[in-house]
Amino acid sequence: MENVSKIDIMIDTIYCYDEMTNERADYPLTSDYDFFINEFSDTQELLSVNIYNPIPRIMKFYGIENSVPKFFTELDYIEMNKTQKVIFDTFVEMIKTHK
Amino acid sequence: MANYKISQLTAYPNSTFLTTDIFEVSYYLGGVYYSRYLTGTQIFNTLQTKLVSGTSIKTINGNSLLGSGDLVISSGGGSGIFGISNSSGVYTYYATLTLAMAAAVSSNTIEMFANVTETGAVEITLKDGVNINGNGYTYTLNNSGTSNALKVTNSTTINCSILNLNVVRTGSTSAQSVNACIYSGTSTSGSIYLTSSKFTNTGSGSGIAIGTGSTISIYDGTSIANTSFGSIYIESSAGAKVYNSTGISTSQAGISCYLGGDLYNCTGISSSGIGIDGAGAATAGNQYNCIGISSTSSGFTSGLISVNCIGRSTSGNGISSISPSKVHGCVGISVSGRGISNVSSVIYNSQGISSSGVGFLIQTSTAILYNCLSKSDSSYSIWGWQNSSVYNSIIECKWNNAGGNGIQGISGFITSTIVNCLFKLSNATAPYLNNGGTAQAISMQGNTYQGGGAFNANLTQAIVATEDNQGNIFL
Repeated sequence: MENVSKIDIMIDTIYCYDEMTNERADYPLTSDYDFFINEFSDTQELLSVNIYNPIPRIMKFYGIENSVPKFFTELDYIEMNKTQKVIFDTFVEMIKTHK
Repeated sequence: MANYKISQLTAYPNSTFLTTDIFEVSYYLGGVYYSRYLTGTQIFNTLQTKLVSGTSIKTINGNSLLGSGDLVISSGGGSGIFGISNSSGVYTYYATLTLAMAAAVSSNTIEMFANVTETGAVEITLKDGVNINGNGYTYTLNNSGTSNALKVTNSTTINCSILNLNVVRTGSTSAQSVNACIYSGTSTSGSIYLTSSKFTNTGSGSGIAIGTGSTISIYDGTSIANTSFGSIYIESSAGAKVYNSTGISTSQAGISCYLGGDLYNCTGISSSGIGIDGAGAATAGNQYNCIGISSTSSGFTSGLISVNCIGRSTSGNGISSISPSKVHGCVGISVSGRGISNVSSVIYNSQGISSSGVGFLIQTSTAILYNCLSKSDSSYSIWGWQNSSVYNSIIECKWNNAGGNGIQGISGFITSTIVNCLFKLSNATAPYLNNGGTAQAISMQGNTYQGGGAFNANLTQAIVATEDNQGNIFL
């Protein structure tokens, strides 16, 4: 999805959004993305990737009940280490060029 | 000869008892012997011939009454899967629902006494005034064709109840709006109560479907299906209504108002589809006191008018208002999507709340907020496009970040009219209004600002008039 601005990962699916047009594309969470999951995922129910809006970052949401999470964590791109930034960029590029 | 009997007499050969013969017995009374007798005519005219089952004595449900033992009779004289009782409580039983429905007349209730599976193209046509009580049993139609399990014939009026019945429609593959568990055909009218009944479609159709031109009212149903039409599907734009019902789907809409339809106190639940799709292909219906829930899509999309509704989503929008509509007193909640995504609607007294997305998106010149609350935990509070307007609203951003803006413009254009609003920000450097450095004149009047920094320097006041002595101003 070339114009993706936000990515959500829940269970075994990657949900990609173009927030300007409300377009959405769904991709299976295959082992191709293990490099990203192994780095950023843990026990969260929803992993959300903001590519630029409002800022590049990864948010993880836990204990979601009635669409309200008990808590969430936020890792801004500027706070990532060098390896994490490479993984983040590689993952976003894979989604943008997904066939 | 007293106290003696005659015995060992030899019958006269080939003789038969004649009507003129006399059968005589003697008896002793008061020391005197008397006799009594029957004539042959009396014997032949009064005694029963030997009983022959099914010939001279009837059977019950094929069971002979001859012989010893007990023949158990239940419920007034029979048994069967479907029964209709008369005014005395005596049941007549039927082997199939088709037969029972054919025999039923208005005010009858067909009761079900066992689970049933039909594999043919069996479609039960509901009758006006004929109710069904499933007694908790399951009626299954397993057929690959397009038959509905239950149907209201096109252009008919019906008033009936289907109570305590599980209807399963399975095996269908045709992508049509039929193949449903229950389908109210085109131009139908009346009311159907589905209290405590559940309609599950594991094939290609809906659980509950309403055809074009129908004004039918459906009450109290629960539907489970994964068809693209939606678990509860309303194709009618003529005023069909659904009350107190729940539509559940994993991949498609829980309830879909495709061309219209009014929902009252309904709940739509979906995993990756829309909880309640009130907009459908044409925004022509209304929703009152409804709840739409989704994991990855919008919880609720508004129709012409949506009142006191709730939309919840994990990664989608809590409420999406796509086509021009009016939204009153609604709440949109999302984890990573927008609380309320308002493309072109007028929204009153509503709340848009998101954890990582914006509280509200207001995207076009016809998008207006009155008396609303917009709240975000970690994004802008409002994402607003040029010529949109916000009046008398609370704009709250709890994101303690320099990007935790009150209203953020879209591609260099920002909300044009902001009147009597309260801005509450959490970061002292975050701008109340941010248009990304692009210059724009906007109308701002009577606003209160708390917690943030100054709004974007390139934004200027578009209001040229001043208040009169009574505080009125021309915007």
